[in-house]
Amino acid sequence: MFKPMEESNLVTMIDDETILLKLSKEFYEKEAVFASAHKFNKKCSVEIKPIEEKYVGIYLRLKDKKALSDIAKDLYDGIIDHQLRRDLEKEFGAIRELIVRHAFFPVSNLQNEIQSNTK
Amino acid sequence: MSYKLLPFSFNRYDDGCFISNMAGNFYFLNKSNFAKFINRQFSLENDSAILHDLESRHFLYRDGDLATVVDLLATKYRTRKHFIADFTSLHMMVITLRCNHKCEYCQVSSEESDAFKYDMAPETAKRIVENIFQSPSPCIKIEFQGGEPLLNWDTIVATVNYAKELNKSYNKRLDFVICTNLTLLEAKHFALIKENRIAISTSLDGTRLLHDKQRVMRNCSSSYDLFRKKLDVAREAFGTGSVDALMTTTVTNIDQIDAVVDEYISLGFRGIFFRALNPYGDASKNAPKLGYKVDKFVDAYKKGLDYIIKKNLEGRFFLEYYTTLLLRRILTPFSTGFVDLQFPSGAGISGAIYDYNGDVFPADEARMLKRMGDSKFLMGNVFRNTYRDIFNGSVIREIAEKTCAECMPECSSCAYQPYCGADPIRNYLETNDIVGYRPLSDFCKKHMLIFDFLFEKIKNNNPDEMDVFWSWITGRPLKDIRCENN
Repeated sequence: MFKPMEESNLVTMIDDETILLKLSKEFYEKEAVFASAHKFNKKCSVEIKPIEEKYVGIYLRLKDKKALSDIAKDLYDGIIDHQLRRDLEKEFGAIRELIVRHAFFPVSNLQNEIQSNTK
Repeated sequence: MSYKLLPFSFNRYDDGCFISNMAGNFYFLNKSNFAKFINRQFSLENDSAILHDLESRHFLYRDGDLATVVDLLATKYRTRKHFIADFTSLHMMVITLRCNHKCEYCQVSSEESDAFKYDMAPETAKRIVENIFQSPSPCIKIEFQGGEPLLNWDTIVATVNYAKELNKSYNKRLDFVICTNLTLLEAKHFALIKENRIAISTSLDGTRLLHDKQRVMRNCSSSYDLFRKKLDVAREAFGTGSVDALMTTTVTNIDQIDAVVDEYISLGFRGIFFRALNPYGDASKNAPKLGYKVDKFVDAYKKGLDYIIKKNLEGRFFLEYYTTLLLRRILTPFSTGFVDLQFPSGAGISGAIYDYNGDVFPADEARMLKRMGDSKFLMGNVFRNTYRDIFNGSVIREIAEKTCAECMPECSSCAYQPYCGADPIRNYLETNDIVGYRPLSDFCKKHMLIFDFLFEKIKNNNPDEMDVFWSWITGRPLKDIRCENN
């Protein structure tokens, strides 16, 4: 489904302390990027900014180069999973909200509600 | 078979994915099956067993079925969250801060036995009881804590009698618990405890050597010897199952979990609660001396649990209480609110604690934080504020708003969410923010590791281990579970 990071051109070593993960905005939403980056902002300095019009760049700064490339890989795996969660949520998020609503404020005509919420 | 996906969360592990849904149903898929599942590539011809499993656990539905599935999932979700309806049923009262012990891990930094200014006055206790009965919960549990509560016995008597008196009008289910080190138990206490069936909760940290090293009496005599003597007294007066105990894990006993379990079993306890050290009071001050890494605690927990399982298989019914609670959440559809582990947090919503001076806090840890100089979680005082001020105020509202898993980073997408919970006070202590920061949270790490361990056991489905788990969940002997009584 996704090309492994090591086989792609997603990662660039900027200098000895900085690595850049460059992702296409076409495939990854900023919510998935931020959700995954949240986990890493104590291990290293994380800077997220657009690159040109179509890309988002995630700059990770740390002194240990080896650890940095491992972190970049973990971050990328995390972004893939969070993007997948977002894609799935678009499919069944409305159903999730309906379940919670129906649990505490029972909906009288569930069938109609489903039709209007899940189109 | 064409199918559509229902809401679920997933956690990856080495060779696959663990998926769960809002109802707490779960399933294990290897990597390729997870990819097939989300890409709708399962077919009835080749994958009927997995498809039916996933359908019966509400991870997918076929066209036309959705209304029924939504109705079922809503019912299951409501059932699991039923504890919210019991708004504040546990009310803990700090009867005194005085204690005849001076344990290095004391979370409350207890006071000398003659520091009477830290006693709760009977008038304060009565005001608290009036406040407690304003709770809409049909069940009220009043727990007497300390210090050592038996040092202020008159206030306990006044509280019990006044609560019973008030309950004639409210007609709620009313229970009492005394958390005591037992060493001061005397004949004068018997009648009240017996008449009101007051449960007794105590502490035992292991063998004589381990217990005395951790639980130090102010007069330097052996806590263990007195504890043993008074345990026999309590059991004779109130019955063999009248006393439950919990242990606190420190560097002293963490490598001797088996010996601690053996001690509990030899003293006739029904179970044990492996409790990690909390970073409050003296425990925080002495952390460099008493503390350990969370991985070490979980390793000890795993070792202890395997040892307890072995003991059960040898014929001794003996529980680990925390595991039993988690298994009940994982393997049954029922509501299992637990103040220290639920979404939204049980702090304030399910339990509250009243300090000796009438100050109200959402949790014992919040009260300890105040003693450490931070009043962030002070909800009010029973003399200055009404029930509505206290339980509808900014403290409890902020906790409720910020401890719903859905709005907590990491928790919102974690597949262990249906079985886990939030600890807002600990989050605040560690990050200055109720929401907290999961990647560095020991609370999160501990629970992730414990859930990994338990789900690995469930996935392995060893019949012996699963029989033991079900005997714990149902509270029935292994023989019953295996239908071996005939």
